[in-house]
Amino acid sequence: MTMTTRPVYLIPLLLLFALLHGCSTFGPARTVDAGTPLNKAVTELPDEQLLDVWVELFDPGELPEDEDKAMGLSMDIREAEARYLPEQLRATMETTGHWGAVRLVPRDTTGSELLVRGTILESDGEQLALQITALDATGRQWFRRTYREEIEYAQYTNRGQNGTDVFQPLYNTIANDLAEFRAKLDAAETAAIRRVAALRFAADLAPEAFAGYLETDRDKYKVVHLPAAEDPMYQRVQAIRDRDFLLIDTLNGHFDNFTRQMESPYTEWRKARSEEAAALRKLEREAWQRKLLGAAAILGAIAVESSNNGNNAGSSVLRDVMVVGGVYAIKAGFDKSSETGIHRDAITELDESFSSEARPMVVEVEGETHELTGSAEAQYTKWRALLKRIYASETGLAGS
Amino acid sequence: MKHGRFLITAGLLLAICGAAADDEKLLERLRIDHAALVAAEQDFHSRRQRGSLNGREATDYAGYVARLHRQVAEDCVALSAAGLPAPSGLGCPSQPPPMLAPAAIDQGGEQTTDEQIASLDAELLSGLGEFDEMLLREQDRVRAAAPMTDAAGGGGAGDAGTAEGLDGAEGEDGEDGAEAEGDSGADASQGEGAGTGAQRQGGRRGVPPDIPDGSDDDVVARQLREAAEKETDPELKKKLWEEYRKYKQGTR
Repeated sequence: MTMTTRPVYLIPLLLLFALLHGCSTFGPARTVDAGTPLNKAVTELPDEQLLDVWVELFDPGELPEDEDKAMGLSMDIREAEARYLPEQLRATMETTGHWGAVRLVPRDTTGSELLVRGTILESDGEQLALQITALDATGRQWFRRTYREEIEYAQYTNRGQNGTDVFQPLYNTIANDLAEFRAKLDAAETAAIRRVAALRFAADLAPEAFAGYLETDRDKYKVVHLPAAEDPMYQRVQAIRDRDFLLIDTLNGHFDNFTRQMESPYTEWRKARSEEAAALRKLEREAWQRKLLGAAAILGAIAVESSNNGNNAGSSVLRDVMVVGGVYAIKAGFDKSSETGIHRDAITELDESFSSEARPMVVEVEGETHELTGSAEAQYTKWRALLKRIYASETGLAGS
Repeated sequence: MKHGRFLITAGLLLAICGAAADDEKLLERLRIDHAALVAAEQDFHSRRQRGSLNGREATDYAGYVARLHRQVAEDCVALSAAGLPAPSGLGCPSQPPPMLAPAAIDQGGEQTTDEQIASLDAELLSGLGEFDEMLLREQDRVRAAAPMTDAAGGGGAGDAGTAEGLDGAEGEDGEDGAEAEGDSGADASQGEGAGTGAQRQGGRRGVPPDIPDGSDDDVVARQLREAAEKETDPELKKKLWEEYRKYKQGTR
C-alpha cells in the first residue's frame, strides 16, 4: 500500500521542483562571459578611401504595448535617447580609423557618403534594442539589422565606472558590422560613393547644371560623367559644400553639449531604474515561489488524504501540517506581492523625475537645431536661385 | 617761395609714400590672411577627412576657418574701399562685394556677361561671408552653452572602456548579402578609444614672453602654437605668433 502512495506524493513535489527550477532563469539578467572588441583599422587608409559617415538622430520608436514593460517610460525619455544614443555610436565609430569624418545630423539630412539610421525598439536601462540601417550615397543599402543587448544591474557598477556606456558592446558590434561591410568595397566603389555624394549635393543646389551628371533608377544613383575640376560652377558648389560641412560641425557642437549635459542624469536614471527593476523582479519571484509552494503543499495534502482515506494517524498529521503550511505560504506570497508596489512606485517616480529633467534639454537642443538648419536652409534657397542665375548667364540659357 | 614749393612737393611725396605704404599694408594683410585661410582649410579638410578631429575640436576648428573666411572678405572690402584692384588668387571677387556697396541697382542691361557673372559671384561671396558670420555667432553660443564639467572640451565619448557581451544582432541585409546575424560570442574586449588630447611637449624655447603657457588652448590654438614653435623662418614665426595672439583674444 505504501508502495502505491509514494508516486502520488512525488507528483506535487516534482511539479514544485520543476517550477522552482524554472524560476532560477526568470528575468532579463543574463550571465555574460565575454564582450565584443571594437575593430580598429590596423593601417591608415589613404584620404581618398575614407568615407564620411553621417549618423542620423534616431527615431524614438514606440513605447512597449505591455503595461509592465512600459511602466514609467515616456516619450520624453525616448526623445532624449534618440539624441543621446546615436552620439554614442558616432563616438565609437570615430575612434576606429575606418572612416573619415563621423558626424551626427538631424533626420532626413541629405548629402552623406554613408548614412546610418537607427530606430529605438527597446530601452529601459536593462535592455537596449536598436534597428540600424546603413545606406550609401549611391542608394545601396548595406544592411538593416536589429541589435539587442541585455545587462544586469551589477554591470552599472562594473562597466560604468570608467565612464564607458554600459551598452558599449552594442555600439562596438554595430561599428564592427559597418567596418566589415566597408572592407568589402574596392577602391572604385568607394570613389563612386564619394563622387555620387558630391554630385547629389551639386545637383540639389544647381539642378540645371548638375542633374545630368547623375543617372537615377529607383533611388539608385550612378555617375554618368564628371564635371571638370576647374569648372567654375562646380567650384562654387564646392565652396557651398564646405560651408555645409562647417554647419554640420557647428551643429555637432550643440549635440555634444546636449550629450554632456545628459550623460550624468541619464546614466543615474538607467542605473537607479535597473536597481529598482531588479528588486521588483526579485520580490515578484519570491512571491510567486511562495504561492507555488503553498499550492503544492495543499495539493500534496489532498493527495495524502485521497491515498490514505484519512485512516492513518501519521498521515492525518502530515496532511494538516501541509494544509496549514500551504495556506501560510500562499499568504506570504500575497504579502510579498503587495510589497512590489513600493518598487513600482519608485520606478514611476524615477521616470517622471528624469522625464522632467530631460524635456527642457531636448527642447533646447531641438530649438538650436531648428534655428541653425532653418537659417541655413533659407541661405541655401538664396544660393540655389543665385546659382541658377549664374548658370543662365554663363550658358546663355534662360534663367529666372 | 622756393622753400615753400619744396615743402609742398615733399609733403605731397610723403603723402603718396604714406598712401603707398598703407596700400602695401592692406595687400600684405590680405596675403597673410589668405595664406592662413588656405593653410587652415587644407589642414582642417585633411584632419576632418582622416577623422582625427572629434566633435568638439571640429566645431572649434570650423569656427576658426569661418573666422578666417570672414577676415579675408573684410580685407577684400578694405582693398576695394582703398580703390585698389583685387589681386587674383587671393580669394577676392573681381567686383567689390556688396558688403560695402549693396548691388541693389539693376545694372543687368548695361553689363557684359562677364560683368554680370562677376557681380553674381560677388553676391555669392557676400552670402558665404554672411553665412560664415552666422556660424561664428553660433560657435560662440556653442562655447557659451558648453557644460562646465569638461574644461578640455569633448573627446570623452567613445573613449576607453571594457566591453562585455551582448546577445547579438539579427536582421536582413542589403543587396550585397552581408550576413544577417551579428556575431554575439566575441572575446573579452576593450572598447577602447585613443584619447584625442594631444600632449604638449617641451619648454618655452623661442616662445615670446607675452604668450601664455597654453594650458587652456583649444585645438586651433594648440595647432597655431605648434606651428609657431616649429617654424624656423623668424618672419613667418612672428606672424604665426601674431595669429595665435589674435585667435586667443578672439576666444576670450
